[in-house]
Amino acid sequence: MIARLRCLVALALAGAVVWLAVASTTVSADLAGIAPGGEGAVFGGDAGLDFLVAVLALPEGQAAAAMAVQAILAASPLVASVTAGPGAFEPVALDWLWQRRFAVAPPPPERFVPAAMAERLLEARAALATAEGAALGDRMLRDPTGAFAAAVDELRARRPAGLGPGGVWTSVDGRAALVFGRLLPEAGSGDDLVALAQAARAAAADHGARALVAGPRLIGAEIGRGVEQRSLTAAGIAVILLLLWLTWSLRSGLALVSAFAPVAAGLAAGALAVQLVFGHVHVIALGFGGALTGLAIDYPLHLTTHGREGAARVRRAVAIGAVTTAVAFLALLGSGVPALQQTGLFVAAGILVAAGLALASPPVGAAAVRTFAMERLSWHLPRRRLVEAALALVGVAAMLGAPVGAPRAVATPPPAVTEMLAEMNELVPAPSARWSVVSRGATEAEVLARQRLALPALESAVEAEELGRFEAMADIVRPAPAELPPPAEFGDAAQTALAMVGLDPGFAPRLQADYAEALAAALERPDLGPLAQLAPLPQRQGQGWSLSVRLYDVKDAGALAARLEAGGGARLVDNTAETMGRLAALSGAALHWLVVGAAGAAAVLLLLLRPRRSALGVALTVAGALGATVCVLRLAGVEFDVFRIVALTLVVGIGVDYGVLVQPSRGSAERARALRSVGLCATSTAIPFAVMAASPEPILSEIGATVLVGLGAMAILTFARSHSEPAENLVRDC
Amino acid sequence: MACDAPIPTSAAAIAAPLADVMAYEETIHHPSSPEPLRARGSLRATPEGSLVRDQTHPTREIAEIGPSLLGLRKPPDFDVEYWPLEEAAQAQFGLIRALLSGRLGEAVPTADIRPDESGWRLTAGEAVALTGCGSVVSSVEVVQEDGVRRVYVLTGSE
Repeated sequence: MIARLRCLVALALAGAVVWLAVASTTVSADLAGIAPGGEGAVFGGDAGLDFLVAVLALPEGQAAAAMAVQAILAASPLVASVTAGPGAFEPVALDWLWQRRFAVAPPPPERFVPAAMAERLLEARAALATAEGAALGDRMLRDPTGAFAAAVDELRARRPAGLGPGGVWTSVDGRAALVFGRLLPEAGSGDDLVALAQAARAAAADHGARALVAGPRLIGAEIGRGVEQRSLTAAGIAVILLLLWLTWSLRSGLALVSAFAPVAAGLAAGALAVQLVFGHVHVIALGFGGALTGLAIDYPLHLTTHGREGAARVRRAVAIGAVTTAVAFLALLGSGVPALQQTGLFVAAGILVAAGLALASPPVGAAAVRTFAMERLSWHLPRRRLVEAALALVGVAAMLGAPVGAPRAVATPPPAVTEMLAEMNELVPAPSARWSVVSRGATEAEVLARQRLALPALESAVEAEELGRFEAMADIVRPAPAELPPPAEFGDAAQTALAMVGLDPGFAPRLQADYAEALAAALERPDLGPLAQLAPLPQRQGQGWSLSVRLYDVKDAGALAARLEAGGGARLVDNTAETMGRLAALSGAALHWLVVGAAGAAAVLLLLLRPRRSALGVALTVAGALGATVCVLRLAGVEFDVFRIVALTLVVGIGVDYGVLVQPSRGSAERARALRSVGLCATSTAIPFAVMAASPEPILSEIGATVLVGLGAMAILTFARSHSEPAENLVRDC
Repeated sequence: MACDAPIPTSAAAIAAPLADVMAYEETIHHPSSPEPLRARGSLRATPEGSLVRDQTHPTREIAEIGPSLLGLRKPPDFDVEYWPLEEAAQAQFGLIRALLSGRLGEAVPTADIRPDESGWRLTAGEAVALTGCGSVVSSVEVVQEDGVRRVYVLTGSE
């Protein structure tokens, strides 16, 4: 009765923790979470906010369909701006150009002579009666230096697209109308973005057109949804199989609930701990940490399988196993990569809480547990410790020789996305994804100045046909003019010029005020945001800034790199190589902290497990199994990335759990019971990871396969007997 | 000229002077200029949704005006140049386009229509207004930045 009461209290506690976690956890999918130090400059920030919709329709229907798509997108709370014309010519961009005209097209000194200003005033007055005047208002008249007209010309010349029927921008071949847009930086969840893309496609379909929607965040959301769906499918299948297996094994509803409650509480506690420390839970930590915390189901199973037989020893083994695994995962806090740090904390907190809850609740239905006679699989391994040590050493050698962090797709883009991107690339020439020219500096002004130094090299590369064309912010925004006349002097000249052409000299104060405003703006740090669609914007990177040049049709990267090196100011960056390097660094960090974690786990074992010889034995078995796992995966041609390395950390946790239960067993019956318990747990662990291994999603299959191989290696070595260990008597109770 | 016709109750009840190609006369008032500038030509809405302004005076030019930009062709070669559209101009041309394609009701569903000396005056937003008599529009005017006022007087078929 008391046992049942304790069980119910434990279940209520688990429920409360789960409720608290669900109520208070904020899930984030910020890409900065996978950057070392959490810097947003490389992965996050405003990068990837722009998007493009190509509306494929017959010429007569393009404009209407594009405008319908534009209307749907403009009404969305996720979208910052959208236009069926180029972004640079939105009203906000014209306003920007008006304010910063001296930064884009600084006028030469001769433009400030009254006669020259009078000539410009006459032209501008006449232009009021033309389409230019209608389009731009009287700004040309209010700027008798001609800087605004020159600035507009400068930007007009940069538009790569054409004008289609109906006055909307079209692809160069005229097959599609183009709608340009920009998302808000905090734009909604992945589901919201997928829904936005679907709404754009539906709006086009309503007009008999087909819309291709492309943009890094929109495509990322569509890929993410695919991963989510496949993950949910795998999780659903795994849970069903696990439930069937445990229902058959435990033969008791209460025992089943008692087995799952600590895991649920552990998952909730992991999420809560991460939320408390980091302020949010990264989706990688949630997914990865969730899968790894599933290991905690072993604890109630061990306790249930043993019942009252050797309860104290098993409880101690569970506690040691949990603390050791937590220490191994806590080491990931040192990695400096937020998602990995969160995963480490998630698993450590989850495992400890699950183990605590399992230990606090009494084992339920122990007598009814159905196990296999796993002791039959016990086998004799001559020179066991030597073999384990050899396996560990071979594993280290195999790992050192492996190309750590080789790039590969983390997720599989759905075929529809791949096909859409190929079609989009035919319609709108895309900039090089591999090459860019990057300048770095301490301030925004410094990176602009450095990029400006690189412009001659880029221009000569275009002339030499090593490069198709380029888009650089420094090519648009010039340095603040050193010497422009003071406003009062300009006002006097303007008054004279107005009188010369028969206009009202009383309008001069207005011209002078506009001039003073533009002069002040030219000397300020420019806000380049409205020019985002014309060239990349400066981005914060750590303590400094970086600014890249967008390149099209790079024909000779070597020659271009040499020109840039000679000219200074910027260097050619191979983004593919940089990404590979970044992934290698990430994997390196994970590997480094795996080793630290394993060392910490070994130290905890030596401290807590008695006799000490057993602790050394467990550590050696785990090292041997880890080595064997690495060898098998390397023989299968597998390269180690961050996901496989963290999965290996789980193998350490599993190995310690099994080892502390089996190694110090005294007598054959105790060892047989321990092996049966390990068999039940290993099968329970194998089921979800086998489902993951069979998933078409690379990230799931990688983790699943790694853990399965590790589990196999661990089981084989755990079941091995050395000369000193007793052969088990078969227990006839199942 | 007094107008005795009743004031329309909504924008949907207003029509342009009946012609596919509408002649116009534009008057441009600028605060710096004692005399207004004048321009003439014709306007028509295309089936694709743009507005074509064919100007004959003071200079010949053809502008195809979309929602946020215009393509401009000038003699002798009539090569197209693209121009952005200032916000008030977008509103004005949008209204003319809606008027000529019979979709004024959709463009200004909640119009404010009040009587004035020539009949009625409909304001759409802060900068744009239509005037007319009965169900027929006589002018479309816009006040751009800095007090520049542009008035299109629609004079019927060419």
